[in-house]
Amino acid sequence: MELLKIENLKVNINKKPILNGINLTINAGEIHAMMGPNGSGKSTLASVLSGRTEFEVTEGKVSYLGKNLLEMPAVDRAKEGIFLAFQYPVEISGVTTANFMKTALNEKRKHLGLEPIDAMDFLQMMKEKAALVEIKNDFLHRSVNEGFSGGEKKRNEVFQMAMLEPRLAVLDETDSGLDIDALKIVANGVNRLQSKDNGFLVITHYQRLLDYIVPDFVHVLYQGRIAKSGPKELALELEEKGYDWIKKEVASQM
Amino acid sequence: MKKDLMNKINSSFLDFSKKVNGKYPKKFNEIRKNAFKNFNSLGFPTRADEEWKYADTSFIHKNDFAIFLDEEIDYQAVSDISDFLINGNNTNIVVLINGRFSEKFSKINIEAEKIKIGSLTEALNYKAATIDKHLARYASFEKDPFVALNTAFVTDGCYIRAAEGVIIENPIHILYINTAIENAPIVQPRNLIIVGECSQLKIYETYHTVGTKPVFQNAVTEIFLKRFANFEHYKVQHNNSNTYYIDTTQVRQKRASIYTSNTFSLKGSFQRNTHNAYHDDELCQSNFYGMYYLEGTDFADNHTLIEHAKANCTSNELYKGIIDDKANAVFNGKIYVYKDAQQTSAYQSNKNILLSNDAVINTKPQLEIFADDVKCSHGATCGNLDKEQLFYLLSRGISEEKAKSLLLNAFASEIVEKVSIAELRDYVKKLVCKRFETEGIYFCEGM
Repeated sequence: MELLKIENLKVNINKKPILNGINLTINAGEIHAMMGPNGSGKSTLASVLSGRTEFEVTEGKVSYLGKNLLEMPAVDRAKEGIFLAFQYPVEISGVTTANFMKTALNEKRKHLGLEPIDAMDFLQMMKEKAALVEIKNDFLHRSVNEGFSGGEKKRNEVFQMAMLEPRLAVLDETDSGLDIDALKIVANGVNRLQSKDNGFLVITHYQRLLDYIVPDFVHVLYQGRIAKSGPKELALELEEKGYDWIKKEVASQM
Repeated sequence: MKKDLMNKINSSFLDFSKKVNGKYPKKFNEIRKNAFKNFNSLGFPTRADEEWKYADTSFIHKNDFAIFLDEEIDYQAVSDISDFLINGNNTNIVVLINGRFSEKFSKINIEAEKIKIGSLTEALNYKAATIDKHLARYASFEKDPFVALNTAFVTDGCYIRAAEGVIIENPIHILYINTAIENAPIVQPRNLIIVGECSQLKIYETYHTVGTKPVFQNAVTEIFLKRFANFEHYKVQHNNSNTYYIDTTQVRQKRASIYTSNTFSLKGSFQRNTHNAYHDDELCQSNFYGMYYLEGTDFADNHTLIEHAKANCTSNELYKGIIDDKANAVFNGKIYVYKDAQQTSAYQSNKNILLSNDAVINTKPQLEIFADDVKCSHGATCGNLDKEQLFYLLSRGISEEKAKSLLLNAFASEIVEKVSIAELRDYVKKLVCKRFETEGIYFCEGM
């Protein structure tokens, strides 16, 4: 089943072209890895999908479950099941993670025509999902990300993802700044959430994460285009050879 | 119009003087006369006065205010105070009706040897020596016209004196009830609070009006904290639009005493809090917190002054404001560090969120430092809600309206959570959450 279809997507920031014609289809049950050197447009792609508005889409189409995604405001995308794990999660002083998640979950339930979740069920659910990413219970009753280490913030992102059970999850460099233990925890969380009904777009710099999250497809983004796609072995090749050979390939095609 | 009121006040003062001469201690009558002389020469402030630059005091002249003597007060208008109480089981209640201590409604549950709570007028007679040492000694009637006016007309108010070495666990609720059924009164409570060595005390103040005529309450509270005393002082201003408050609190602190205040200005067309502390010895600590959440055409003005006169003292100051519609707020935080006040630590912060284009904040930190070995910092911010935080919430499927309320709730909670009295904290939360209710926020119960 087709979750996301991006066709010839071109995006500018302040009149400067960042994405120059992206084509990508993600089906349910698939994990796609998006790699590429700095400045290739990876995070911009994540931001556009999540519904940030400081971009100008100049061309192309994005459909999500058959709907025109580009016309949906960020909040509706989230309610419809798109989740962005932030590269730099935001700290919100005074709002506990528990309160945050309860609010978000009930907004989603309302959208689906369901009653607000029972308080006991919610606590039970939170406990289970927190265990998944090895987050201690008292973290949930502290302000969102406030005073958290880099690794804790990223685990909190995966925890939120587990709570909201998205159809399509976009992980924007969730592995950056993680030590190997945290990386395993985050990857394990993703693997446990993966199912035949949902899809993942995992944006990363390094092959390292892909030792733990095994992608069905690997794409290399360069100069705002997908320069190369391949099976999971492509990631290993990139690790070994770097991005230079891709850059050369692109140059020779020009 | 302006002259009318000054004339009225002058003739009221003559009547009042006739009545109280001989009744009060002679020395105090001298102070009153001096204060009135000062008031006449100072006059009511205008915007030309630096301390009143951003406050529109024209209400004083636009309404037909007058000062009333004891026998003219309609005490009968207050028949039941239960609506004004905050649900605290063992709270002590001091009721001031138009500034006069009410025997009928006040309710004190603490032994008199631990604490004396009662009418200031009464104390003026039987405790003349103590009163004389403190009353009108701290709040300056030389410079401040409203303190001068209050001092000239001192009639009554609340007198509290905690003995030495006592911990008063149950708070004292000072409940101001003003009656304004026939006339528009200028009400002038005068409070004196003395906390003995090593004693602890908590007080909160709330304000109510019975009747629909305008009220101008000009209150002055002097607080004297002896060595190692610890005093928590709360004010919750949630007023109707026809009442105008000017509230002056002057604290004098002795060695190692701690004064903590928390002032909530949640509703009201004019709320001015002049709030000052003076460190008269070393190791004192002053904590000034406050929150204003204004909408419509509400106005709140917090003027604070902390005088670090001695070495090794600390002050922490944090005021937060949310300003909506055409509401208007002022924060003026002055910290004065005297030449000998070495090793002073003074921190001040004022943060504001403006929710509309017509909302106004005038914020002014004023640090005057004459010592050379001090740690002082100040900061003031004003802006809209944080866009990144807002997007984070939106990206989790929380609607914009709810996301905003969640963030405002979080912004406010930093101050609300500093309230150490559970019943009061809940009361303030309810008032703050009332604002959110219109926006369908249900999580306030767990705030």
